[in-house]
Amino acid sequence: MPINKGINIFFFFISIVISYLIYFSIDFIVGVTAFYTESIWGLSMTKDAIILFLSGGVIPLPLFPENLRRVFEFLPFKTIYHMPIEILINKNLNIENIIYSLAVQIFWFLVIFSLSRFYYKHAETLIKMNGG
Amino acid sequence: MWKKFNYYLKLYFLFVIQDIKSKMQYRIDFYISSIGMIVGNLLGILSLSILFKSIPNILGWTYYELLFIYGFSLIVLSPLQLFFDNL
Repeated sequence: MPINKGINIFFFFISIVISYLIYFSIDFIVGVTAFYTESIWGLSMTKDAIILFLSGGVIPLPLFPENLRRVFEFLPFKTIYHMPIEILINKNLNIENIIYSLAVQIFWFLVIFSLSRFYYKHAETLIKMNGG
Repeated sequence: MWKKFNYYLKLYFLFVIQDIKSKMQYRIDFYISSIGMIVGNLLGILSLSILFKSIPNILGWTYYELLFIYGFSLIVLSPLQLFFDNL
């Protein structure tokens, strides 16, 4: 049974907060790479283009061909743009689908966040400081 | 007048040399950003081709017409970015 209008806006705000946290964690991983390469201008530009493409920011994911979409099901990028928008505008979702989407988002957030902490712990050992 | 033109031409090349030096200061990031520029442009073309896999045309505009317009805009944009960006 589809849920009432208005309730999905509440879930949309929860979902968008989690998607921001996932995006921040990926950003943090790219930022920590600066300990190794000393400048990340090109890397962060490349990351922005790739995330925008793979998460459905340029073209919505339902327009992609079938076999590509099956690959995207296993990638964390669709939790950034696709899932909050899906919760907001898809009329056929019931409460189980929304809870499932939020669970997938929280799972990917925990995975990427712990990865970023682990990476930072490793990068901390070779920190370099100039001046000061 | 030509004297002035030559002066500014020399100045332009000096600025370009400084710009390339400052870009290549971080060697690894320079190579990554070169690859990233290519990837970014390829994703632009790829998104058009994926869009037209599922729909035949947009208000009568076909895939090849939109590719022509995309390339035509790059003819203007890329010399600008190649010669005069960040100077």
